[in-house]
Amino acid sequence: MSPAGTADEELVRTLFDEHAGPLYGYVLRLTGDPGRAEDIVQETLLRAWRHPEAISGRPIRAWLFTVARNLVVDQHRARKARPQEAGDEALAVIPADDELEKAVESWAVAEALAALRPEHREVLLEVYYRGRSVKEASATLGIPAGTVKSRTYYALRALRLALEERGLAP
Amino acid sequence: MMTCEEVRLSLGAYTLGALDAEEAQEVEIHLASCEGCTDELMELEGLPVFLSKVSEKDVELVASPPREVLDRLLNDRVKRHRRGRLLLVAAASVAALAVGGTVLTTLQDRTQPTSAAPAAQDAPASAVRPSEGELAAKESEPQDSAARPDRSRAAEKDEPNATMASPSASPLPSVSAELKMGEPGRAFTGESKDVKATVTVSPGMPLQVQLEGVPPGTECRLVVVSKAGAKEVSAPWTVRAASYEAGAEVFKVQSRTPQESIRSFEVRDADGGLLVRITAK
Ligand SMILES: [Zn+2]
Repeated sequence: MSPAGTADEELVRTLFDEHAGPLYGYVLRLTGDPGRAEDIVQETLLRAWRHPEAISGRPIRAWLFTVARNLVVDQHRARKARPQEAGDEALAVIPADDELEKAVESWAVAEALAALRPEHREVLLEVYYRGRSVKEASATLGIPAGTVKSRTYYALRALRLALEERGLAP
Repeated sequence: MMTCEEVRLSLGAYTLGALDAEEAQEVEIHLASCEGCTDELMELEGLPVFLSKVSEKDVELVASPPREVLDRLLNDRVKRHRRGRLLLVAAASVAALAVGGTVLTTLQDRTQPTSAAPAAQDAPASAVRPSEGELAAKESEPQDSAARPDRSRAAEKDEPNATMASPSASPLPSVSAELKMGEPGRAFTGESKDVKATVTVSPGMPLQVQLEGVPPGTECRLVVVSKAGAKEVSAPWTVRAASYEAGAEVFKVQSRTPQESIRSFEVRDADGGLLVRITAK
């Protein structure tokens, strides 16, 4: 194995591991089509790999989201230009430029939540997203109410840290 | 009376409105006279705003990007390298010598941001071995054009096979065309960092699952995910040492999900941890 091959492969894997999740979520929300989302994520990461100079020393996440968004828009236009495909999976939302920053932030929040320890994520899903009280969550999760409380506390502390690591200060 | 410690541990549930009225009131009484706990509350108060930006489903999506995108990227890279070699043959060898000085720079740029990543030793044997010529061919790409996202399209112009070359944008390449599902008896493969799995789907037959890289004794379940998002979980089976070493053990799994409705398979361990995901596509 030559060092160059390893370095290339490593970069592809690192790009995927660090960005594919949020990027995929973002593009899937734009297209509503898992297959198309996969293609666009692939093309976006490929461009990042082919142009390391474009992504060094700048906020790479915003760059990736911009490229992906442009691909979605281009593809949408291309589809619209072909009459026989008109009405074929209309695009739900094409975001304006200023919404990109918000999208980057939202997906970083989702990423921070996904990075929590499973029991922390689980208790936040119950208590916040499913709106359960401490007592209800205690029954659902099969853990004492006191544990639900302390876990919720530590989960929020961990989330705060995970957000700070991503440049999002609560 | 609640102690500071009790109050602290309740502040998360309090912030998210999950305490019952009586308990919430006790916390409030304490907060009214305790600066330390009030400071702690302020640290947590901003978090619900962030939680409200995403849904449960968003978190799920982020946690499970489709692995086959990575596989395709690695395969695609091989093709591009091959093309690079052909391009070089066409070009005068002088060109390769001329850019010799800058090749290293490019390599270092690529290596530097990822040097801490643990993935290097996981690189499979199929990884690309670019010759100097391939690197030289890559180096001939315009360097400045990709510097800003809105100009990234221009960067693809020198690529004969680039699908995004025209600003009016052609559709994306049908990269998955050769992987489409449909014929009977199709085998689908998925790979994670340590585990490789193959699921064979045949009409009217149980699914056949083959695993590599799963430690003996691991209890596994197969989750069949439908296109509509429904999940069907199989009965568990345990990977046995002998068959694991032989690498040939086939686990049969009955699924009620029709073949054409299957979006993906997941192999999970006893704790529900994802070992590997296989996309049926
Ligand atoms: Zn106190």
